[in-house]
Amino acid sequence: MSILLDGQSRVLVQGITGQQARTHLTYMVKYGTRVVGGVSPGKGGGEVGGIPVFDSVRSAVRACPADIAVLFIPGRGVRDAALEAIENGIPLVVILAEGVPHHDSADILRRARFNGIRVIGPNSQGMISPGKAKLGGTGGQFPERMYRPGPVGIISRSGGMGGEIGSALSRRGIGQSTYVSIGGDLLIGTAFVDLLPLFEADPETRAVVLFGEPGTGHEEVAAEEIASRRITKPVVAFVCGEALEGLPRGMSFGHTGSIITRGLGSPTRKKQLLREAGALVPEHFDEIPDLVAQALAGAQA
Amino acid sequence: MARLLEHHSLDLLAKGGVAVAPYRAAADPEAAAEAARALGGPVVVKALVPTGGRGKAGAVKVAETPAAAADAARELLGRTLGHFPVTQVLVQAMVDIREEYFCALTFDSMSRSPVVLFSAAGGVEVEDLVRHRADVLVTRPVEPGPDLPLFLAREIVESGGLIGQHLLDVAATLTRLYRVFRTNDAFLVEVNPLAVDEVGKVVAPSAVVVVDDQAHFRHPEWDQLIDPGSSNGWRPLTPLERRMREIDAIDPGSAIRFNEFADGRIACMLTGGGSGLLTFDHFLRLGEMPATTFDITPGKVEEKMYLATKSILGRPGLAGLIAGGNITNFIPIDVKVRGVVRALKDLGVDARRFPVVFRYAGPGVEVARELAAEVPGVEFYDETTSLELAVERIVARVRQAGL
Repeated sequence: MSILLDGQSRVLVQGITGQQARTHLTYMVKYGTRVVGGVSPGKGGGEVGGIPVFDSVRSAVRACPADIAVLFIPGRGVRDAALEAIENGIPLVVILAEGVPHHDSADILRRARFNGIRVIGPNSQGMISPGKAKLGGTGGQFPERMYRPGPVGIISRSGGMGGEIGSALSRRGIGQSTYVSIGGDLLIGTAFVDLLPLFEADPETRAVVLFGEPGTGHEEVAAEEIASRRITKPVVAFVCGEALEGLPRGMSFGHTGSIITRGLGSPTRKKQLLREAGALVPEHFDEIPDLVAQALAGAQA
Repeated sequence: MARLLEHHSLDLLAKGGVAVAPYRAAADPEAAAEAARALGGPVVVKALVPTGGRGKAGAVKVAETPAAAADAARELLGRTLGHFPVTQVLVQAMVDIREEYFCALTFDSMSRSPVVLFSAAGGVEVEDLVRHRADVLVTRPVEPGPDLPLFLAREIVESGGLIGQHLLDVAATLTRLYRVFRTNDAFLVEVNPLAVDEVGKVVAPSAVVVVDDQAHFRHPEWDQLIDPGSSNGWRPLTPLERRMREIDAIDPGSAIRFNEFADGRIACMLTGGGSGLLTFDHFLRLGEMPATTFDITPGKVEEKMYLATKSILGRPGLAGLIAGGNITNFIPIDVKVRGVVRALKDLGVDARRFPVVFRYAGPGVEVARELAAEVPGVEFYDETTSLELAVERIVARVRQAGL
């Protein structure tokens, strides 16, 4: 098992005729992702790598119903494309673009909530259920270099560091059930607290790793969820960015969500809450594989 | 994010139908006196810099006469405030404040929506309000959309404790401020205090507007408004940071983010938002402040990496360089390394004397390793060495070298 994505998931690629989309489409399909169609307004009727291209999501889903839409669309075009996927009822919409204006993200996420659609991102690197399927850039051309099937779920606000976690676990001989890159923006559709119950319910997953960052309240809410005992599987939670607490306000490393505003969202506090909630909270990133191994051994016993 | 100067912020409010205290910008004492004459009556003279805390810093002065306004301007101009040199002052008609409220619009990560902040206890710093008077601060997430419904504005103001005509007038102002927030792609609109004057009129004597520079593509008018230095939020760009912007401009396909720190000695070019934060943490744990942070998004990056490395290494007092980042999925890292190595060769860097550590992982790693070997003494690590270990390595090398 896995969450949200497996080899049966029918995927629609929006912006399929773009260069990046074409490259990643090849990798996605080669890995086993079931891509049923693509959308590129004005280029309907053609095909990319044997995948039919439509002018609109509406005509695409009529011909080939989809469970997931993945958007290879630059930031300025995201609002329109995401609303199109949402209005056409695709239950899961994955937004990869960086630099989506905040007012656009708010509009998209509002409409998604209203229509009961799950949005991952913006600024997500995608997701992967190792050995089954992958979306977006995650894993690149050789996903097996970084990810292998196994019992650990990963949720990360940093796409790159999610890859580091996957890679470090795989080298340690620990595989992953699903890795979801939830995106580094201030406004994202899906947070830790939304995915923890899915991993809890997934029989294959036996432990979850979270990678948190400064800013927002997502780690704090995850801590509440863990403390509630609704999550019984061990959670290893790493939060980076303590250094930001000592820097002038307004400094950011490119993740708008990581800007600490009004004294809230400090990594120190997040870690404290997660620790109190019962999560395993390493000080060093490099401790993660050991902690996961221990958690798995403990969960077994 | 880019914080607009106050006169530009007030322009946007005025255009949106919000009553503001009349103002003029002045670049010298004579212009300040002239502005005071034109405005008539007592004025407030404020340093025009894109940073907060001006009141506490003594950069807001009351002047009863044009001559006093000139004196105030003379005193402020040439000062440096929160790292920003004062090159202009704002001369503004003084408001006879009878009531003062606090009002702000921004985004809330948890409700994923705009949020309205309102308090009847205005005129104090927002941090103090949040920390000490949270009980009198109304925080209300609202649905995104072109308008803030009037009834909702009334509810918010009512929750803040206002009654009667003030409730109605402030609520109406709030709906206008929301439209300013929305139509200008603002990340923050803050009016503190939002005042009621002696004739009962709701007026904004000051305003802060921070625009979302990710929406710059649909706001060509910002070209004139955004001071490149203000997007950093806390100080103007250094010459090296300005140079990095020029380098970034050679290709719009990828974007560089760069910061320089005066007290660091190890140049850090570790890319990726998360890995940048993580390695920064680790540097500090080891008692070492990095001299730089550097990030670059995918695109045609070789030339940018070449120029950036060359510029960064031109900074005096550096003791070492670490370059690389988290494991990449598809970006061929040899392209980046090619740029860095070319710069190192150009500069004649001998990494046996000036420590250089690479930590690159991803497609093209074999080629990258060979390229790195062309510079004597470069230590090359891939994903089997963690980012934290790579940071420890450069710090150890620099310390060994007795630098």
